[in-house]
Amino acid sequence: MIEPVEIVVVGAGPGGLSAALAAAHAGAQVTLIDSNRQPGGQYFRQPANELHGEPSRHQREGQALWQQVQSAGVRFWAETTVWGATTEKILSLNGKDVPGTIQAQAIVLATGTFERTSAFPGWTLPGVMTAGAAQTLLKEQRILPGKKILLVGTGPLQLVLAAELVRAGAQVVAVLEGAPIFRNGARHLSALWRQWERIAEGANSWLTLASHRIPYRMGWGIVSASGNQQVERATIARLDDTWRPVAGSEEQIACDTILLGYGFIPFHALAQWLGAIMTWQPELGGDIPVRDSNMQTSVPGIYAVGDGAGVGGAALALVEGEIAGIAAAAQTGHQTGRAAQRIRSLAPALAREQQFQKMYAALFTPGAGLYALGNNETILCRCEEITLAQVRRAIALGATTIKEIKSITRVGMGDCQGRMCSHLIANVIARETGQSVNQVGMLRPRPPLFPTPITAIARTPSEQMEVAHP
Amino acid sequence: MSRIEDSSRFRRGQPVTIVVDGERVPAYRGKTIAGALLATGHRAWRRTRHGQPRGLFCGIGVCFDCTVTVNGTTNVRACLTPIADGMIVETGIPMEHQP
Amino acid sequence: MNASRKMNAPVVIIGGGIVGCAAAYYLSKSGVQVTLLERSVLGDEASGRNGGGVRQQCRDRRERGLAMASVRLWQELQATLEPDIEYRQGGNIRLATDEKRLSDLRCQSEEELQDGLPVEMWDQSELRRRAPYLAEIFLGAKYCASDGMANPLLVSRALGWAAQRSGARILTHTEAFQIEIQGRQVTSVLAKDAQGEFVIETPQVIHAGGPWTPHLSQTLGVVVPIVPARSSLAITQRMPRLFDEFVSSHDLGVYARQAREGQIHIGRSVSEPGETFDQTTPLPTIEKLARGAAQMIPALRGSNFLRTWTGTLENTPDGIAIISAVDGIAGYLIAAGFSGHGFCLGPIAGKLLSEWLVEGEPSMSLREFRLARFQK
Repeated sequence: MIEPVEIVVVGAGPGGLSAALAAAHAGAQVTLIDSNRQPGGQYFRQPANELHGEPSRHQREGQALWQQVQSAGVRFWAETTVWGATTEKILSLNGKDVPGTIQAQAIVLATGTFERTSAFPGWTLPGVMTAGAAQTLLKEQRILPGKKILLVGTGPLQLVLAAELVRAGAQVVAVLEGAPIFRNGARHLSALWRQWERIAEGANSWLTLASHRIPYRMGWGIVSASGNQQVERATIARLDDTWRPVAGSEEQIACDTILLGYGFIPFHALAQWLGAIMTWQPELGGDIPVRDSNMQTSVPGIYAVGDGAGVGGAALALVEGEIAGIAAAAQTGHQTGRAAQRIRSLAPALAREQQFQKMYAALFTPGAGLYALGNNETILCRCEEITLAQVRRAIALGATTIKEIKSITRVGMGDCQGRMCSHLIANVIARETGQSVNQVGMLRPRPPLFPTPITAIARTPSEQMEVAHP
Repeated sequence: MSRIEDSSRFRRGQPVTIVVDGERVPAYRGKTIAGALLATGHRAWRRTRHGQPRGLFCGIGVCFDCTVTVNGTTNVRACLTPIADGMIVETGIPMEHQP
Repeated sequence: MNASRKMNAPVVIIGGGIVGCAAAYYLSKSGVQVTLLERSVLGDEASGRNGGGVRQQCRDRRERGLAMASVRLWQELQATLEPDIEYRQGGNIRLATDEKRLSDLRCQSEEELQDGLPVEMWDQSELRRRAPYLAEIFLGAKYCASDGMANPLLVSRALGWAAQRSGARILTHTEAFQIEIQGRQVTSVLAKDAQGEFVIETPQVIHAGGPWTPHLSQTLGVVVPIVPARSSLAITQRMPRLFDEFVSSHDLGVYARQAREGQIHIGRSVSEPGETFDQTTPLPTIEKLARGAAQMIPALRGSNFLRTWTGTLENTPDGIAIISAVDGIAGYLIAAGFSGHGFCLGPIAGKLLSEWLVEGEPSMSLREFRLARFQK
C-alpha cells in the first residue's frame, strides 16, 4: 500500500521548517519528516524534552518557528528515516506509526549536511570528534565533550562553538582557523553588509574568547593527535596557502578533546535517487542538485533547500525554504496566482544571503593540504579500518577509480556507507593518480539510506515471518 | 565527563539506571546512551575488529562509530538512542570475527 | 576517423567481465598478445554484481560438465590470483518447502550422480542437523559439498590485472562500437576512448559483451538472441559467523551467502520479469529480498540491510550460454548470454576460448552452445 500525500518535506531544520510553513500557509497539506526526536535540525537543536531550562537564542527562535509550523497544521513524523526513493516521487519510510511507503505530489528536500573530516594520524582516537558532535552534546544533552578542548577547522561557527564551550565551563586550549582570513578577507567585506546579527554574534564570541585569553590562531591547523587509548595531545602547525603544514612550525598542545570543524558535505542521496541532475561544486560542499530560481531541481516537483542543496547557513536556508514552500504549494494548486509575486518579493533577502554564501565559500573552503596529512598507517575508512597504505597498494595493482579501490580495499563499504570517507578517498586517489577529484567521483549512494532493519523494509513484524510461502 | 546541567539554569531529567557491560550506570532521562556514557567519564566504549578503541565521533548518527548492543539488538547508535530505565547496554564486539 | 591512432593486435577481446578477463588471462599465459576493450572498468557489470555463487548442482545438463571443469579452475585461481578472490568451497544447499520441489530435486540428484557430480539428498531431520540456522519450513534439500562462492568484486579485476602483467593490453574506459570485415574475415575493431576514436587491426575478435553483445554484433549483421533483465541484491551489516554454505530457495525466491567478512548477501533466485537495462533497485524488490531472507534464516530478522544494488543479466531463450563461432565470418567468436551462470562458468569459458585460438579447438565440446541452435 502506497499512501498518497500532497507535499512532503524531508528534514525539519531551518530550511524544512520554513518550507513546510510557507506551503501550509498557502493551503497545502504538508507532511514533515525528520529522523531526529525533535524538529529543529542542527541549527535550532533543542534540549532533550526531559531537560528543562532556559533555552538559547537559537533555540527560542526555533521554538517560535516550530509553533507556527504546528499551528499551520503541518503533520510531523519524528524519528522517521527515508530509506529509499524513486523517480516516481515514492519514498520508503522507517519509523513508528508511519506508512511504509508514500507517494507525494511534490517533495522538498531539506536534508542538511554532515561534517567534512580530515584523516590525520590519530584521528580515530576517542576524544577526536566533530564540532557538530560537541554542539549536539552541548545543545541537546547539556554535556561538555571534554575538559581541555582544542578546536581545529575553519569558519565562524568554530568561534561560536568555542565561546559556548567556554561559557559552559570548558577549558578551550586554542581555536585554530585554517584559512588565512586577513589575507583574503578584505575583498569580501561588502558581503557583510546587513549581516549585523552575524557580526554581533561573531563579535560576542570573540569577546568571550578574548576575555578568557583563548588563543585564536589564523592559518594554523592540526597535524596529528596522539595518546594512549584516547587523545592526550595534538601536534599543530602553521599552514601554507594550500593548507599544507609548514615544516618546522610544529607545536604540541596538551588536550583531551579535539573538535574538527572543516565545513560540511551536503546530504544529497535522496536528490540523486529522485532523479535530480547533480553538479559538482566543491566550494558549496560537493555534489549538489542543479536548481532553478524556485529551488526546483531538474525534476519537476522536487525541490531542494538549505545546506543539503549547497552549504550556505541557516539564514539562506530559511529564505530558500520559504521560496520552495510557496512554489511547491503553487504546483499542487494553491495560490498559484500569487506565488510568482511572493517569490519575487523574497529576491532581495535571497540575494543578500547568497552573497554571504559566496564570501563564506571563498574564505572557508579547505585547501588540498587538508587531505595530505595522513601517513601510510593512517586510517582513511573508519568503519573498515582501511589505511592509506592499503589504498596505495590497490592503486599499484592497477586500480584507478574509486569503484575499483572500493572493491579491492573495502573502503566505503562499512556501516557509514561511505559518508565519512568518500571525500577522503577521492582526494587521495586524485592526488596519487594525477586526476581531479571531480574525475575520480564520489561513491554512489545506494538504498537503504541508512542501515535499516530487515523487518522494517519487509514491513512485516518478526513474529509474522513464519509464513511458509511468499 | 563534566555535566553542565548541574548549574541552576537547567533541571535534570528523572534519574534512571542503565546497565553497561554489567556495571550499573546512573543517568538521567533525556540523555542518549552516548550522553550517559560521556557524563560518567566513558570516552571509548567500542572496540573495532582490530581492537582499536572508539567512542563518539560524528554525534549525529552518520558515522556509526559509537554503536553498541542494546537489549540484544546489535549496531545501535549510542548518539541517537535515548536511555530507558534498566536498559542493558553491551559495548563489546557483537561478534568475534575471524577472517 | 583519426588515422594516426591505429594499433594492431592478434586477438581483441571485447568486454572486461569475467569471461573476457578469463580469456585474456589464459591467452596471455599462452603467450598471445591480446588487447581487451572495456567501456567502463573491469568487472563493473554483472560479473561484479552477482551473488558470488560458484555452483555445479541444479544446472542444465548441457552445462554441467563445464561447471565441473570450471570448479577445478577456480581452485587453481584461488591459489594464484592477487588480490585474494575469496573463493571457498562451503557447499551449496538447494531447499524445498514442498514435496513437489523435493521430488524434482531428487530426480535431478540421480542425473547429477550419473554425471559424476557428488550430491546428497537431505531429509528434514538431516537438514536441521546440518543447517540449524534455516527456518523450519523446509522439508528437505539437495546438497553439493564442492560448490562454493567467491567475491565477485575481485575476480574479474584479479584476472585482468594478472593478464596485464603477462603482457595483455587492457584498455578500460574504451568502448568498441564497430567490428569490420573484409570478405568473410574480421579485419578490425573501431573503438573510442576519452581521446576519441581509433582503429585496432586484428584478424580475431572474442566478443564477450554480456547483455550489450547484440548491439555490437549487429554491426556485422549477426543477430544474437540475448535480452537484458534486472537482478538485485542486498547485503546486511556484519553478522557473527552463521553459515558457510550458499543456500537458496526457489519457493521463497531468495538465496543467501555469508561473505568472508561476515556480511550476508541476499539475492533473488528467480528472475524478475521484464526486459530492461535499468539498474536502479526497485523498492518492492528490496522488500521481497528482506522478506525472503527473514523467512529463510530467522537470525536475519534482527539484522539491517546495509546496501542494495542491481546488475543486468544476459538471458538467452533456452537459458544457457552462447560460446560459438559464427557461420560465414572467420575470426569472430561470441561468448555471451550466460543467463546468470557466467560467474561460475567464466573461468572455463575463458580457458576454452583460449584453447580454441591457440590449439585450434577447445578441449571440451561446445556443440550445445552454438549460436546456430537458435537459427532453426
